[in-house]
Amino acid sequence: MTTATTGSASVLTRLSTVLAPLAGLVLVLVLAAVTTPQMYTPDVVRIVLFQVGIIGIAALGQTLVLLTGGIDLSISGAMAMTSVVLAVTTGGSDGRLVAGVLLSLAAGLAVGLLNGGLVVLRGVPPFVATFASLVLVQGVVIAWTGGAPSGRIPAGLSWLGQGRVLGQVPVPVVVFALLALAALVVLERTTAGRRVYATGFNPDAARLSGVRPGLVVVGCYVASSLLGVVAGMVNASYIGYVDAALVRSLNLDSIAAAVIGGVALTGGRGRVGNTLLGTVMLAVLLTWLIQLGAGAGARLVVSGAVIVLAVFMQGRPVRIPRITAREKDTT
Amino acid sequence: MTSVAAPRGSRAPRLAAFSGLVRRGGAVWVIVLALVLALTFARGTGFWNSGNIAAVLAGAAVLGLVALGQHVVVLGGGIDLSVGSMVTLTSLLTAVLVDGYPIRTVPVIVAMVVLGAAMGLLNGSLVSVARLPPFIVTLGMLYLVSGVALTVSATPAGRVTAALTDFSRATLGPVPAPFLVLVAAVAAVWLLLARTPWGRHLYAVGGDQHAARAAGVRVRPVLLGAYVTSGVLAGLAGVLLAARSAIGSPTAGSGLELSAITAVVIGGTSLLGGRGSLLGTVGGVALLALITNAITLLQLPSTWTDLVRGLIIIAAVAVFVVRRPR
Repeated sequence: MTTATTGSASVLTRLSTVLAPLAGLVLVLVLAAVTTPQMYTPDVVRIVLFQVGIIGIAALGQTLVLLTGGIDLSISGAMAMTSVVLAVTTGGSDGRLVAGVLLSLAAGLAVGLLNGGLVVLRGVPPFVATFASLVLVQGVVIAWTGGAPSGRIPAGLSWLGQGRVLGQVPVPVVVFALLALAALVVLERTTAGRRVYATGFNPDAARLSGVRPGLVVVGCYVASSLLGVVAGMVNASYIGYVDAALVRSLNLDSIAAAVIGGVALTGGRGRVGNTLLGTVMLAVLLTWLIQLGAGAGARLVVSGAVIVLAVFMQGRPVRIPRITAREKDTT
Repeated sequence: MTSVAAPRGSRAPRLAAFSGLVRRGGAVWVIVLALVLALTFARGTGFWNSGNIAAVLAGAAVLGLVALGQHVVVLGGGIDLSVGSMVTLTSLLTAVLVDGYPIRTVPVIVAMVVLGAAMGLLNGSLVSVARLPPFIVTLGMLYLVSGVALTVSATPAGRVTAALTDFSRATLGPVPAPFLVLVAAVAAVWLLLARTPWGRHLYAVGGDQHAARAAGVRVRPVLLGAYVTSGVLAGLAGVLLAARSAIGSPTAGSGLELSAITAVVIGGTSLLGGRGSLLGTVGGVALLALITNAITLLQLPSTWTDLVRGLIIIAAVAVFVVRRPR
C-alpha cells in the first residue's frame, strides 16, 4: 500500500511541474481560437512548427547548461556568428558549403570552450562569462564585416530552413525532434547524462563520487554553443541572407522555453520533456502575438514577463493533495 | 574591509599583494595611469587638448552613474542587468515627452527619476520579496523594458529643449557639467554607503544574507534600497544621455549594463557581494572612458569598438573576478 501511495504521490509531484505550463498552453490555445481563428489553418500551424524547431534547438543547449546550474547568454551570438561565417566563407556559392559548415562548428566550439573555461577555470559566474562572450562574438562579427553584416547563404543549404518532410512538416522541427531524441537518450540512459544531473544537483557530491564536474560543465557549454550553431544554420538558411539583428531575442526565448517548461535555474532538475513543452507553449504564444499584430517590442515585453513569471511560479510548486506533502515529510 | 580573510593555502606573496591591490581598487588606477602615459606619448597634443579632456569626462558621466548603481547592487550580493534598458527607456521618453517644449523640461526630468525608481522598486521587490534570483529577474526586465522602449518608438524620435542641450555642453572651467552630476552622485553614494546604517547593512547583507538576518538586519528594505538606487541613477543617466544626443533613440543604452558590470569588476568589487571599493569602480569607469577615447584618438575603425570592448571585458572577468569559494 505504501508503495502505491508513494508511486501516486511521486507521479503527482512530477505532474505538478508540467501542470502550470500545460495550463498555460491550453489557455493560449483557447484565447487564440477566440481572438484569431486563423491560428488553426495549416499555414499558421506550419509557422508554429517552424518556431518550435528553431527555439527548440537552442533551448536544448540551454537546458544542458541549466542542468549544470549555469546559463548560456551567448547562444544568440553563436547563431549570428554562424550566418556570417557561412556567408563569408562560401561567398553564396554551394562549392565551399562543407568548409563553411565545418568552420561554423569550429567557431561554435571555440565559443563553448571560452564559456566553459571562464566558468570552470576562473570561477566566473556563468551569466557574466557568457554575457561577456556574447559581446565579444558580436564585436568580432561587426569588426569582421565592417559594421554591416551582409551576404548570401548558399542555396544548397536552403532545404534545412525551408524544406518540408512529407509535404507538410517543416524540416527544422524534424531536426529538433531528432536532436531532442538524442538529448533524451543521452540524459536519461547514459552515464554521461547521469553525470550532468549529478554535477548540477551537487557538484561536491558528484566530485566525491568520481565525477569530474569541470569536464561535465565544459562539455555542456560546448554542446550548447554547437546547438546554437545548428540553430543559426537553420535560421540563416531559412532567411537566405545575413541579418545579425534578427536572432537577438532567441537568447531569451531559449531560456524562457526551458524555464517555462520547468527546468530549474538552480541546476540538476528538469527533463527534455519539460523543455519540449515549454518550447511548444512559447512558440504558440509568440505566433499568436504575431497574428494579433503585435510588433517586436510587444513580443520582447511578453517574453520578458513570461520568463519572470515562470521563475516565480517555479519557486511556488502547485500544491495538489495533502498526501504529497505528508509523503514528502516521511520520506 | 580591513579583515579580509587570509587566502587559503600558501600562495606566493606577490600574488597575494596583487589580489589585495585589486580588491582595494588600486590595480585599476595603475592601468589607468599607464594608459594615460601611453596616450600622452602616442597622441600627446590631441589627448591633452581641453576639448578632448572634456569629451572624456562627459563620456564618463552616463556610464559612471550606471556603474555607481551597479556597484551598490553588486555590494548587496545582486546584479542588475536591466540598467542599460532603463537608460534607453528614460532617455527615449525624455526626448519624446519633452518634445521641444521648454515648460516640460523639469517635470519630465522628475518623472524620469521617479520612473527609474519605480523600475528599481519592481526589480527589488521581485528579488527581495518574491526571492527570485537577481540575474533572471533583471534579465527579464532588460527585455521587458527594451520591449517597452521599442513600443514607444521603433525609430529615433523626440527632441529635447535647448536648456538640456546647453547643460550637457556647459563647462565649469575645464570640467563639463554632466561630469559634475557624476561627482555629486559619487559623493552621495559614498555618504550613503559609509555614513548610514543602510550602507553598513548593505555590506552585511551582501556578505552573508542569513548571518545579517540573524544579526537583526531587515534584509528586504536594504535590498529594495539598493535596486531603487540603481534605478534612480539609471533614470538620471537617461536624462543626461538624452541631453547629450538631443533626440531619443530606442537603442541608446544597449550594452551599458555590461560596461557597468565591467567597471565594477575591474574595480575589484566581488560579484559575490559584501566587498568592494567605490574608488575602484570609479577607476573602472575612468578606464572604460579612456579606452573609448583611445579608439577615437588612434583613429581605429569605429567598427572595432565592440571588439575591443568585448576583449577588455573578457580579460577583465578572467583576471579580476574573485574565485568562488569552494
